[in-house]
Amino acid sequence: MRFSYIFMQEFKRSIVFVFLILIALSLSLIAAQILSESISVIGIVEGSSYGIKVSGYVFDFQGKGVSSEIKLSYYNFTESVKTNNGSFYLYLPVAYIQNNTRINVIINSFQKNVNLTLTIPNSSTTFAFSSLFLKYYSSQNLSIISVKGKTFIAVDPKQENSNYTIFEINSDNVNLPLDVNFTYNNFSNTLKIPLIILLLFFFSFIDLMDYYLLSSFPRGELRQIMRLVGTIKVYVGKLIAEIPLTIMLSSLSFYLFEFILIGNDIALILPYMIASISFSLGVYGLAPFGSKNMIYYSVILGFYIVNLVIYDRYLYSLLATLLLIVGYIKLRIS
Amino acid sequence: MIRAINVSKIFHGSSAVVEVNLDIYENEKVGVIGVHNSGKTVLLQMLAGDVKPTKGKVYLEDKRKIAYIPQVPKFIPTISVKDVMTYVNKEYHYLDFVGLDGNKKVKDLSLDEKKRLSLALSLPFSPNHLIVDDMSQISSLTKDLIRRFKGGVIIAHHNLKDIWDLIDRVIIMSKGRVVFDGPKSGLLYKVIRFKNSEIWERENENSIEIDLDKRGVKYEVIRVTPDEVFLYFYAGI
Repeated sequence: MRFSYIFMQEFKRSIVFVFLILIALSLSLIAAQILSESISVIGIVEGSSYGIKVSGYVFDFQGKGVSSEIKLSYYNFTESVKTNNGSFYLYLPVAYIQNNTRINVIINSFQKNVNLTLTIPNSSTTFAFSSLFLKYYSSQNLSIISVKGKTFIAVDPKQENSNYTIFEINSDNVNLPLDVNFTYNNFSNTLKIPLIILLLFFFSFIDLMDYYLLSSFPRGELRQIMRLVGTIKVYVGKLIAEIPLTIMLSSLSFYLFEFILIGNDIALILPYMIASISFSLGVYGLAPFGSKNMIYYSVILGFYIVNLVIYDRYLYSLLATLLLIVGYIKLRIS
Repeated sequence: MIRAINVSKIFHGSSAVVEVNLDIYENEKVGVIGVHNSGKTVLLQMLAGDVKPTKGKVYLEDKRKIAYIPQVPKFIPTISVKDVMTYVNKEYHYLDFVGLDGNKKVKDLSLDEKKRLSLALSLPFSPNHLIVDDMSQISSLTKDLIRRFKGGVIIAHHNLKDIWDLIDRVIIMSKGRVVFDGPKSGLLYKVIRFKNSEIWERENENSIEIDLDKRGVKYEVIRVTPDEVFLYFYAGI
């Protein structure tokens, strides 16, 4: 019975911090809105003694074509075209001198201006640029950009025997239109950076909340209660009362971010949700070492967790973290 | 009964309590007296079961059967008295019993009120002993609650005057050791002054006066307080 009393009391106290959830949601909303303004471009360039041909597609994070103006320049020769649906084709009737001569493709749109400098190693090459993507790969004969629910692929027409084709696919289960040495690991993901920044914000929110809620341990404000009802009941009761808030803080905010940008893809945000819950549990364990120490050590813990999320090199991270702590303990002792 | 057998406590190499042996029964009212840093608080914390001795043993039935009022009770300052009580029990009538307003915030409580809140938290467990660390800034209401407590009472304080009427037995501590343990009447003395000399004699004895009368020496008898006896004989030992 007393366990439920402790839980209710602590839950009542932690409810005050619902405003942190609202701030976290706002941050996610703002970040998602800013990022959804990004643009991507994918295409193929062919240079020959007949001229330079560029075809491509400019699109936003939703995969919709973006109206823009595309300018192609080669030495003093320029050619431009306007597109409303994102698709474009440009032809510059100048003789192209091979071997690393550069051409410039400038894309001006409402969201962003992009200036690409391209080199055509052979007669043709694919190119890709994206300020925000889920998956990205670019090589001479294959370029892939995945955005929210859509994947765009550009292939070299010489090798595929198709004519300046840009493919659009809507599922991961697809055969690539070209036989190239390509694995899933070739993809990079720009969403990691905003997600890590959000994670760091949530870490600081958890620290703020814990400084207020958990300082009662080192200050001895619960000592008499623990003496009478038992340490385990107070420790666990308080922990269980805090967990719903932490889960809401991390899961709701990450979900909102992911929902606006990508759609319903929990797998992408799950590591970040687990990271913030792990951080919360870790900081809880640090609380009895003192309010300030809890915050100091939580920085190391946060570093360790972020390191794991980004690189997944847990042994190096563990070693580095242990050495950090050893150095601190040595200083304290000597 | 609370029994301490050869109990010592060492903090960072310095002894706070040294080889203390005590038996405190359920009906006893004991005052633990000592100057600052004499080891009173540490001894009480060990008797309450809150601190483990470095050496020796303290035998007590159940920690919850000992109501312990620390020198400065600490509670979460932002919550109400009623909320503090809820952590332990919902028997709020104990708050009325100790004269506390349940809606008052902890941060608005005086030290005396915080001590009463400490007592109220323990009362639902029907304690056999009450341990009070320091009686400074204690109101007559709290004093009355201690007086009416049915069970053993151990009060630590730096003088005897403030707790004289609450205790029967006195334990005097100096530098972590028990230097006096006996009934409070053992601290009743008088001073007999004659010529340039003075002799301290127990109040219930008069052999000095008889001897001086026989010799025809004029003298005067001065009553001394138990605190003067404590400071004269025991405080600096």
